Amino acid sequence: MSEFKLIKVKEGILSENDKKAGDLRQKLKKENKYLINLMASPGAGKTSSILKIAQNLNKNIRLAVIEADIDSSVDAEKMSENNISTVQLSTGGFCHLDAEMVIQGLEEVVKENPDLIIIENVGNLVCPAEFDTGAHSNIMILSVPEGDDKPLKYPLIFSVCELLIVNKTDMIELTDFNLEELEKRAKKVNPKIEIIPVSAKTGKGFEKVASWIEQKIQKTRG
Amino acid sequence: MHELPLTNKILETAIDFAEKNNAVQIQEINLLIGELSDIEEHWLNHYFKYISKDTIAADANLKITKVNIKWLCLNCFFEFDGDKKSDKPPKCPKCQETKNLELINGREFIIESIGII
Repeated sequence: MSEFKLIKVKEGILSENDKKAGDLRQKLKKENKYLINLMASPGAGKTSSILKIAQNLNKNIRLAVIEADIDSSVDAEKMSENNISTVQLSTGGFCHLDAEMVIQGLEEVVKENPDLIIIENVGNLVCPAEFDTGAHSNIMILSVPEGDDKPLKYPLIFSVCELLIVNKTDMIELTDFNLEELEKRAKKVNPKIEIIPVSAKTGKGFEKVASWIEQKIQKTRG
Repeated sequence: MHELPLTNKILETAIDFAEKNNAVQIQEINLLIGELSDIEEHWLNHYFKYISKDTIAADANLKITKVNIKWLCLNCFFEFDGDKKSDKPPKCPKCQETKNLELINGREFIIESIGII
């Protein structure tokens, strides 16, 4: 009978994905392409926000979108109607995108030579936060009806995002949502997070989101 | 929800290391999981049991050690523990910095070691 031995492994379970994501990030930077990973719950307004961002972006910036949906192409159809070059990735039941899936999606959209690519991740506040997609910035949308307590319940996603877009502020009066409380809670897990309140319905605030993105693109181009 | 692909990865890595060390059986897998992670231990165990049967890792014990939140102050380079339960934002106890802080622990998901025979 052999003896019990403890073997050091020290390997990150996501290290393979992290490496792929890191390589992708560098490759895109060299090609002057900025990749954004947009995460939110279902119904927070990811698709309508992307459309509003597109309207507010400097017209010289060519935008492409990678749509991740478990099993439908409704969002991709909306993008195409608005003349945004889009690729639809069906995650086939997967709850998140990883770097490999993004690499596949990029193969399609790079044909149009975009400057900015936005990934609309699967609607979910848990799983997408664990997987590095290779994006240069993670952005999250939280909508007012979801409540200002979400950073307490889903701290990881708030900790990995640079920008938090608070959507549906047009209906804030109808709810108990407290923007200051939200900010306090989000900064608890991520002191550097920036917050921009918007309304995808009225378009309010999206000029700020667009200029935030434009500055990021400029910065990486040096 | 994403516990299944992660569990697959745990099993794959554990078997890989075990085989390199000529193991006949994996008895335990020691994991380090950050406090901020949303991994459900219940599902991790459940899936592991399911996918590991018929492998040398069948019946292995998944031992999970939680890693507390730790911040690094980029102003004075002091490291300090975070408190998940506190409702106050983190603040460097040495120089009172509240913004320029980096999360250095709390997001781990690491196979620390495996116990084999």
